[in-house]
Amino acid sequence: MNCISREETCTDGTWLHGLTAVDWEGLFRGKHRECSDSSGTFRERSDFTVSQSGDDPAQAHSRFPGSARLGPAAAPRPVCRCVCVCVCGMAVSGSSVEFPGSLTSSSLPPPRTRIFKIIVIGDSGVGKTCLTYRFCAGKFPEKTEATIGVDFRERLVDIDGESIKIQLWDTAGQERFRKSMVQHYYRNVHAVVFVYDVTNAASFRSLPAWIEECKQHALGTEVPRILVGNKCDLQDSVQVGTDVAQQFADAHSMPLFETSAKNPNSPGGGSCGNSDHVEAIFMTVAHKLKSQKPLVLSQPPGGSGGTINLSRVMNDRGEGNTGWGCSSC
Amino acid sequence: MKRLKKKKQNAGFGVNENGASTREQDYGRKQKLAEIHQALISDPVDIETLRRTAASKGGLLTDELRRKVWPKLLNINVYDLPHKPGRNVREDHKDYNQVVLDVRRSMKRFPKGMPALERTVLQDQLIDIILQVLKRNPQLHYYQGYHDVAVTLLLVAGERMAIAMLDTLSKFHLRDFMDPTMDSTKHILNYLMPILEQVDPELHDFMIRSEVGTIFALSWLITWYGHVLSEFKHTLRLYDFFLASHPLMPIYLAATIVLHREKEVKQTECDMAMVHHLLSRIPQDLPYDLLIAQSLQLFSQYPPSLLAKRAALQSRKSLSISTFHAFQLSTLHQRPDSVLQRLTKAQGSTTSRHASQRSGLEAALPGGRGQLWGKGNRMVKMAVWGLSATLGAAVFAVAQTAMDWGPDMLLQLF
Ligand SMILES: Nc1nc2c(ncn2[C@@H]2O[C@H](COP(=O)(O)OP(=O)(O)O)[C@@H](O)[C@H]2O)c(=O)[nH]1
Ligand SMILES: [Mg+2]
Repeated sequence: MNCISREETCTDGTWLHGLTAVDWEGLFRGKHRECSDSSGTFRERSDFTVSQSGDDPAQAHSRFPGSARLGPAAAPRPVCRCVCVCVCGMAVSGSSVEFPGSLTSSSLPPPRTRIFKIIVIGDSGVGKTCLTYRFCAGKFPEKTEATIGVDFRERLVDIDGESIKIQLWDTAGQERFRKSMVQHYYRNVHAVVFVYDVTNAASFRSLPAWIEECKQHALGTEVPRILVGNKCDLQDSVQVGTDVAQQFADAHSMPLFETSAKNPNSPGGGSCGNSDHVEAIFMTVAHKLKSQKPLVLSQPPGGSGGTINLSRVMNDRGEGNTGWGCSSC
Repeated sequence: MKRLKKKKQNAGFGVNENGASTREQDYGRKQKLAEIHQALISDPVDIETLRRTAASKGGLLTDELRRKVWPKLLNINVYDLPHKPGRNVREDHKDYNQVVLDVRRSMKRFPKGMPALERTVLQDQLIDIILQVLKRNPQLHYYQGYHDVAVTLLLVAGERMAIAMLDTLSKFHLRDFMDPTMDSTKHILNYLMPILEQVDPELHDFMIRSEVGTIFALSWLITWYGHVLSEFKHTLRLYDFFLASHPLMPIYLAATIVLHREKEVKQTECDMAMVHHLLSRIPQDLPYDLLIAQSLQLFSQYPPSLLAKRAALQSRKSLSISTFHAFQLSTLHQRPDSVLQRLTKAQGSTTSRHASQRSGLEAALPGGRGQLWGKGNRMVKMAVWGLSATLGAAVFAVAQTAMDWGPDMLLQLF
């Protein structure tokens, strides 16, 4: 369970050496160069909202079939902060009847699909629902509603020829929900996305509390974490400057992204080429996760649904603390 | 043509789901209306009958009736309603920002055709009534989803009656959700699995193995399904039921819904995300009358006390549950509206007379959705003529629109 800290940074070859967090930021704001090699080709997208409602913005109760947007994603190769990480608890699922438009129901049924679970947290109103929706459905939702409890959205992406399900857990921002309600969903999370609103200084000041919450759920620095400043399209009302945010990100060894769920291609949204910036952010995380070697694969307990057990299961259930550790580092 | 009209009308009530004979239904409906009417004029009000009809097929049928019956179910005197919130209601309340944020983005709860201006007026009222109730009860804490309850009350009953109802609900049925933490809410959710265990151990085991938890039902419970249903008539149907029921009834309904979807659940991959996803999406065309009947049955078969014993749930005290009996008793001695009105007048208080006048108006304003305007038109016009000068243009605009999108005041039924 001991992981190498930032100072001991090593790479696994997929992530770039030597880029500082500033470089990351530069990547996205176009100050620096290369938007990296993006191997992410989107074959298909599927989105659904879990809570009926909730958040599924524009059309509460309908699903959004994949809008089959093809094209390379701008997935930068980010800094490796801690490579000796095992991503554990990645579910391997062979069936996917639930998700219309997903790859498994099309003509290319992969034998198994890895799932990357990413939890999205931050104050109420910063745009978590909009960001996750933007990534999974490819557009900014007309209407979002307060998220009650948790929702999750998924999208199937193709990374280096492997089809991977990215599962975004969108959580309620109101504090009272978190103590007793959201804990459950921290289990088996592979990465964390912290979101603040660049036009709301209070949401930025809350970040230490969110980081603390993560720690309490045994998600330490070894779990890939990124910081996202949202609503960059509202350039006139920015309250949190990039410098301050960057300092904070550096101090916590996280890459910083400033973007807009509403208009990710606007200048303020920090576009990278023509690509969708929000997309690039989540794809970056996905690349990072894929680059980690999944030494242990777990399957959902019980597995009556046609899951395939690939290797030994190292998922003591009922225990929030499974799986982040790396026995080999 | 005639037939078409009839069908439309029925659809508005949420009955006639499988095309049963309309005549038969009309008969049942008329009988039910008569029964409710009789219960309302009995002295004391026949609360048992009101409860039963609210839960039985079709619920309370019209918004007009809801405005009469809902206050009785909550022991509220409609001739003695709280005043409209003053301007200072928004001043320094700790939940102000959160309330505004949630109300502003709750557009979906308002009728589809409603013009933005009118919606904004109602949203402002919604913020005010929520803050008003919170200010009156400093022990209560706002939760996201509370606004979904408040909006339902507001759309049916208008501002002042909504305040009175929300106040009572918050102190009783919703009380557990309004603690500083959600621990009590979690406790209430813990009743769900034991019900499933009693009825379908196999399904129960499946869900335990999937580790799905009970958060999929969280928004159902704390918003009385208002947050997850897209058809307002279904929300109303359920509110009729819950207002007339034990505070744990939303959990029994949740269990019924899960049981109703048992096959689907068991066919799903036994994985937290998959099961959570499946269950938290409520199918929009559920047979509500059937499910309500089943929930009532489950409730009598496995009452909360029995579940608490079997599942070792007694450890925690639920205020909603422990105060329910007393609350129910308090509803038994209500006078009918005609008497209340006389009594209030006799008191000679100008404020309450003003109140009654206004509550009458407000009751007339926001009405049912989707129904063509029809015969109620004159009624709303009269209400608008009756507007006191103190009511601003905004309210007038609401009334104006009410005529467009149409309250279903089925006056012809009386
Ligand atoms: N201008 C702008 N508004 C946004 C953006 N992202 C979200 N919003 C708005 O911020 C509000 C809250 O968004 P939501 O996703 O529900 O926040 P959450 O509580 O974090 O899930 C909504 O009114 C959104 O329309 C953005 O990038 N730009
Ligand atoms: Mg949200």
